[in-house]
Amino acid sequence: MSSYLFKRASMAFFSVLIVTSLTFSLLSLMPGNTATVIIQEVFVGDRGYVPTASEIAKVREMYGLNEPLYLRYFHWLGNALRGNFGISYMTGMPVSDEIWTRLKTTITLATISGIMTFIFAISAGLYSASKRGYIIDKVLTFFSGIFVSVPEFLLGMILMLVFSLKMNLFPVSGWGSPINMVLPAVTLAMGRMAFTTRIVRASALDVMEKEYITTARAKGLKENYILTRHVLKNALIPVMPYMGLEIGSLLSGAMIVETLFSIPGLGQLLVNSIIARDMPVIQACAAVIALMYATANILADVFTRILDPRIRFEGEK
Amino acid sequence: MTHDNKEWIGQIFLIGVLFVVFLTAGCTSHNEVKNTKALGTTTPAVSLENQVLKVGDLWGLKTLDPVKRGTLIKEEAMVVENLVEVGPDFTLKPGLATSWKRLDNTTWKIQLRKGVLFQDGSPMTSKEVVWSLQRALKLNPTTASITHIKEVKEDGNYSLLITTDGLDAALPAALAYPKLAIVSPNSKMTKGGTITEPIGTGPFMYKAFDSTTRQLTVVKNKNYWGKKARLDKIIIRSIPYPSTRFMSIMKGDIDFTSGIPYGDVKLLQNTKGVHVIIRPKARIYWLAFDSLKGTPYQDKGVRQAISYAINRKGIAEYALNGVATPAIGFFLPTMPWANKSIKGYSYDPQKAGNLLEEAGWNLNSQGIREKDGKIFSATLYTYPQRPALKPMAEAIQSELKAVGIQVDVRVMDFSAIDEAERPDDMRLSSYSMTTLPDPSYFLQKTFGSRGAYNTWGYSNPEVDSLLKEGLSTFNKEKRQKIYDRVQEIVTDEVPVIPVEYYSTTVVMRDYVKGFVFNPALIYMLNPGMYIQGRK
Repeated sequence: MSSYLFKRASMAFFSVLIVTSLTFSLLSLMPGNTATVIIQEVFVGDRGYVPTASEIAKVREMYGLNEPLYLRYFHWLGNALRGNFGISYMTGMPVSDEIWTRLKTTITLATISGIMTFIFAISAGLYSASKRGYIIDKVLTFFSGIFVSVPEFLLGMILMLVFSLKMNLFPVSGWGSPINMVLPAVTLAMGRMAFTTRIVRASALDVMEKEYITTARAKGLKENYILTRHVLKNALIPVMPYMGLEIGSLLSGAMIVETLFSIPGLGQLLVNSIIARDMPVIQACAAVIALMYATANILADVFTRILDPRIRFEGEK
Repeated sequence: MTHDNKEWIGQIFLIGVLFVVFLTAGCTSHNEVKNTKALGTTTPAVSLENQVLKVGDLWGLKTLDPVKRGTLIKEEAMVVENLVEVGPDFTLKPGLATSWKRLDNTTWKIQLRKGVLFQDGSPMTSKEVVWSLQRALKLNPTTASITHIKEVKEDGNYSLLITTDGLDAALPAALAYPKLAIVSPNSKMTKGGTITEPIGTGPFMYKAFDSTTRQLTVVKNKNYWGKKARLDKIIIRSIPYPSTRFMSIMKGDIDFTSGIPYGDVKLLQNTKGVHVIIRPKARIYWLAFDSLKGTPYQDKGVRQAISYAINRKGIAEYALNGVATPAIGFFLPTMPWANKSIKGYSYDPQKAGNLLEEAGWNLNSQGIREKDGKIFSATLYTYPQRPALKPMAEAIQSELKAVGIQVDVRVMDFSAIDEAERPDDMRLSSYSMTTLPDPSYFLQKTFGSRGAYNTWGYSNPEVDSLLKEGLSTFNKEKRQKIYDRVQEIVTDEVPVIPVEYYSTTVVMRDYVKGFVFNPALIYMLNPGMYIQGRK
């Protein structure tokens, strides 16, 4: 397993390299002169401002924009590998500090939603499968169908309107206290809960038709014991890799939810820095997000391996 | 064991079901809303004496260093001040400087206010002021070219000498530029020299900035040199998404905000407990041509025709829900340097048609203007950052169609427009008239042959020489005459077409009192504000 992990980790490292170099070249392809946009957004704060040639020259020099692209990338990479992500053009603060505070927020939000999704989906999916064809199964399928198709933006707005404005239960926006986290976390989790419930249900139904379940029933084991011991474990195996992807989708979903609820997370930071062409921040965000995706997938693999000892990683005996 | 497991699944499932029921119930019946309200614990009791103002910021609290974003820390948080300030009537008032005098063509002597203390208790003398100004000029490459300041020197303890880059009568106005706000050298900075905890002289002082919630707290400066603030504390939080800002003020999570979606203004006006103010600001929406050379727009008559074809009143009322004012000239009529005799362009499609015909653009069989076999068509570009632009562009599209000009509207990012635009195209955008509170800056940038906004290539030797004369004329009346003449010429020639004056919506809860709107500022808080009658 350790050789597998090593392999996967080095693959993850290379994907981060690819993502960051792609980001670098894509940024230079974005319309608009980089120095001009930096001047407008960072130094003047007016998108209509037309900079003079000497202002552009000064800014290009200040941020080393005169160097060729590949040199700038290697510069960045060298520093990043030593843990130095540079200084944000906008705030003048070390990028690593900026990212770290934002990352904690986004991870908190994504984790709460992830746990909600996981617990709800597994219990509801399994229950639904065991009551196949009963009214409760139909109700669950109906609602999951609805929530799968409601976009986060709309759902968030509805939740805000109902639970904040009408019922006065939660603040509309903001971050910091647990009460602030409820609506965004639910918004983020809802669609995923619905979707994952369906997957768990389908997978559980598959497993229930397996011969070993029939065997277990024939042995006279109680239905609930079969459900929690045999069905659950086996049903989760195909769900696991999907969960890994889910973590990634939680992150991208978090960005939408952050915008809507004014949560100062990584997504908000990334959007703001792309608008202002705050290169060091964009680069670091891209690296962090790529790394998180890669880690999530490795974790999902490891969990699958733990759930199903029959699964062997490549090269494992 | 078996039994336990069953319960475990059952319980969690029950919670899930309850959750869904709860959700859907909220949407259906008002009785249930009342019942669950008892559970709400989020509205804290606030006493009448609690002079705390919660502000929902529009732009994001990006930096507290005035060098890059003076507007937040100066106009919204009121921590720092300038040597010269701008009043609501756009006139210059003494700030940290009590007087300013020109010694020769390029040198000015600025007298500082005595007895002013920084918020850390240290006195403000010319030493700190010079440090602060030099820092601003050094760290922001645009400040020197916008303000035309070349050099700043101490001249005794309480005065300084400022040299301008060439003759510049607008220097006092330049000193009001928010990025030149005065900060103490004792302010906390990063290694790179960015201020993170500014120490200024203003009526409020920096208390805290929470990096996780990105919330800025400022408290009353009890040693303020001027009239002391009535609020004890201001908490500023960024809520960039417009609908969220709207709901936050509706609910009362925040007490004060601005920039509400146009469609929601009527609803807010009818909401109890909320007060909406709509006022024009020193910002203009204009219709610009990509090029005046070799295009239909090189003909003055065509430009005037387009200007007559636009129904400014209709756009303001219907397309923008009243959150705009029809533009007359290039300055707000309330500005002291606006040429009051300018009448602007009325809505007159008939006249527009005549002017187009005079210019040789005749209607073809499809009702489109044609000249020498060429059809009059263009793309009208605009960008999404300012929500008024798109509806305005669509209105202009149909109005131009009515006079036979075919226009497609395309909304894209500002920098993408630069690449897509062809010489025949038009662009609807928004510009500030008071980057500096003086007529010279805006007129020079817009109508000067080499003005930075003048990307369409307008060039009029008379305007150029008048603009130059204006910068070197120090007599107020003479100066006004010069700029009156410039405004007259450019309104007649309309190299760019003024469409609307930008209006802003300021929304506050009824218990927020003492607010005075200042159209010259970007942010609009003032130290006279206080809280009365909050429950």
